[in-house]
Amino acid sequence: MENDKLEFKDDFITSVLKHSDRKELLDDFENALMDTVHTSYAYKKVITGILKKSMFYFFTAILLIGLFSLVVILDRSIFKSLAAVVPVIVLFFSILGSVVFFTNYKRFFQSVLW
Amino acid sequence: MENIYMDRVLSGDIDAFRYFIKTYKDMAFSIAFSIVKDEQYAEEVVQDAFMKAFNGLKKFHRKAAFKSWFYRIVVNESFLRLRSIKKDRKMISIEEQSDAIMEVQFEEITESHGAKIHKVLSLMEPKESLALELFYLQELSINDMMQITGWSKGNTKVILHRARKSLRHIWKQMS
Repeated sequence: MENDKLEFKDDFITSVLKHSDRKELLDDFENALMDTVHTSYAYKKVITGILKKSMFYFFTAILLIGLFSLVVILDRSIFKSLAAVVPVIVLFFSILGSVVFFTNYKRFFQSVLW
Repeated sequence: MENIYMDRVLSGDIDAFRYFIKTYKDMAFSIAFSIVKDEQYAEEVVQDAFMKAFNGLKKFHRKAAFKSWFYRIVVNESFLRLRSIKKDRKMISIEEQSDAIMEVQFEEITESHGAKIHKVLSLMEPKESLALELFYLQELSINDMMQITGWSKGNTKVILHRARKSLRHIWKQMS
């Protein structure tokens, strides 16, 4: 590491660069940025709350449909008739739907938030 | 020290993030300016970088120093912005660049030494001025530079060599 420092040691460059006019960011910038951070944090909190709530309702609904289908299947002794297959298909598509929905939802919120 | 502030931010004390802004804003601005060469854009880049750091603080594993991690964000954001600037207005051709040097030479009579250096840096290639900024002003090691820029060791050294040569060349032309 020291070798690198020595290899590139250049007093001319160092003195030139150190005398450059450098603009310093003012406190206004700091305050404005902190305001943005606060706003973003509050927004994120609200959105996350909504997301969590809607996720909860959605997955509860899926679970209920699944449980209902299971009860129906057990009740009608599996695959005895075409009518018994319908709940299985419903269950399958509900799970598929939830996976697709979840992925898209996550991607959407990620793109909105950051 | 930084870990304490990081923990405070992560536990919901958002005001603790001011510490990072206070500590790194000026250095981040210099780095961004050395790449985008425009104060307004550089300010925007710094703002975006801080927002990214704030949102990504949870994902920061603290294996490296916060400084390196944050500067990497600044560098990436700056190059992204530079790309969009280049898309907006076409890159200045070499001819125009030499015109700019002549212009600077003319203005130099009335301008301070510091302003002249500022202009020399703004005429340099973004990668080269970034290398000078990191090595000579921020006094970072080659390894730190590699972490921040993502360049290889060889590449970093080549860029540093070129940057020194280029600065001397523009300086000579202006004097």
